Amino acid sequence: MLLEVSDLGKNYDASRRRGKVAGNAAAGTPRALSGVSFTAGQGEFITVIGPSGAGKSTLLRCLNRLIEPTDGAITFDGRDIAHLPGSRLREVRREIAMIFQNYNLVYRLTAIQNVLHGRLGYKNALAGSLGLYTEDEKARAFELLDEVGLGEFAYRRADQLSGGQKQRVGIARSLMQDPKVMLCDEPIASLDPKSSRMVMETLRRLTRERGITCIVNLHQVDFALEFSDRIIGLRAGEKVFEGAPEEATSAVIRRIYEGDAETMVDVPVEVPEAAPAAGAPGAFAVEPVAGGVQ
Amino acid sequence: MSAAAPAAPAAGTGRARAVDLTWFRRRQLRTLMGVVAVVVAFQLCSMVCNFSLTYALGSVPAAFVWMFQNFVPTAESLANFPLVITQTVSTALDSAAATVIAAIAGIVLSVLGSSTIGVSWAPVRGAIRAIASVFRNIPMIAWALLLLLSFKQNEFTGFLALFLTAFGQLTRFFLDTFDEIPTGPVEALKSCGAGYWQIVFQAGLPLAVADLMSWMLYMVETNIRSATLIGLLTGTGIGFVFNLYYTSFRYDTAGLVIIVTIVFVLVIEAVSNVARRSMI
Repeated sequence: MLLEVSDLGKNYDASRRRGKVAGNAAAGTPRALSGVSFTAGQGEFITVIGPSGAGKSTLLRCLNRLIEPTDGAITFDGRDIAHLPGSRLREVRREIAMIFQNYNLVYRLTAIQNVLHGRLGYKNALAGSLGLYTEDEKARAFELLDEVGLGEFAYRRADQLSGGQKQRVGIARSLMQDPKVMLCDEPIASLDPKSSRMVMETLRRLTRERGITCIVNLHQVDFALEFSDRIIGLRAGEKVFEGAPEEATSAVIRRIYEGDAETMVDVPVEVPEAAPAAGAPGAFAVEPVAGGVQ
Repeated sequence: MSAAAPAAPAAGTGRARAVDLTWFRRRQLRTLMGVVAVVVAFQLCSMVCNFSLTYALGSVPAAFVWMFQNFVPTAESLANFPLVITQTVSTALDSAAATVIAAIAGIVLSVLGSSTIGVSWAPVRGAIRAIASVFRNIPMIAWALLLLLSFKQNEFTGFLALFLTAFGQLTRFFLDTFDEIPTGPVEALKSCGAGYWQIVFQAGLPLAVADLMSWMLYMVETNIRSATLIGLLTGTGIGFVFNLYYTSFRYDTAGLVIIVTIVFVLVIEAVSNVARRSMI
């Protein structure tokens, strides 16, 4: 298995790190994650669903150590990365790309500069700081921009792109890393239905064509049912469901979101599990957009 | 003046709305009482200091007439024009140099001290904030007087005084700027495997550079103004020229210095506004 997570736990009170979870770790929750185990094979498309504050963001950020897990083990490509010393973290991080709800582009730089950032993990401090990329890297960055349909926007500043375009620059940046795994934290939560579909289709294509493993946090259950190979349900930091989309019946989904009145509204409980797309365009996350527009 | 907000309408009384029509009248009354209090306080203070507002205002026109009669440059004073211009330019360049060097030092310290891309060890960040605070809170005139003792009256003394205060101020402003950059892009670069300096140069500086330059230009403007004053003490630059003619009752040339300085500051301000707009 490419990625094996066993008994992963995170307790925010125990570790007084100042790293913030994107507004998801509800205050007063004693454990953000406890005893989460799963594996991910090459080229698998896994979505993680669950109510706000269930620990989805924390889970993803533990996998690339943006957040330090309190206990448990993570094995990536045969290496134990949960206990890797900080100095060797970048070797692992460059193979685990991440895309974000708010795109997190350096908005004053151009699209092409943002794509090239994906190479920073492979460059020494001086070359990376000064932005000295090789001709091969530059050519590849242009190729990737073309591939996500943004070739003509290469020299456009990131803050002049639309939300969907920004997210595709984010995807190109992560592909620049030549990743084995892509972690996607609410990649479509700030996008309109059309852009959302486009981004999800791009992600699925990557898993099929390049064998990249995608782990995607989603609020849109209908998209999860349509795109995933496997769905993991999180509630209050614990894994409460794991299975194929066919197994995620409306009863199962209701159980995952149980007791979360706000999100209940979005769960297409009336939709029979065979035709998940019926509730599509309207089914949008209620969760407020965290960082707003960049 | 804005009166403090009155007690919130009874919270927790369920559905009943607190309708209180006297609320508005009470609010107006508070404002009125505030105004009356200020007037009374002013009157009391005037009586204690033996200050007469009417007499003070009455003497203003005469003072202005005197100023215009004496300070308006005469044809004779225009002979000093080349001297005034060269001294103004040299003072301006001196203060611009002091500010730019202060900005470079300030950027280094504020990167290391910021909460977003600073060093993770808190004592270092605290120490940087303390240094900025100390340099900022010692007035420029105090620096000049202090430095006069060891560096004597020369241009370098003025340069140092300007540098030290600008350094304190700019470090403070830059710290705020770096504290406010969005953490998302920083996190994203970290997730790509970027190292500390790569994050500083590829995310921190690009996100902050417009604000940094804006603060630096502002400091250049203020420092050119302050440099005139510093020159009085250090006996250099345009401040010295002003002092020289002023103390020897040559008010027409002193007036010329003032006019040239004002025009110069306005020009610098206009130029830096253009520079600012082009950087957004």
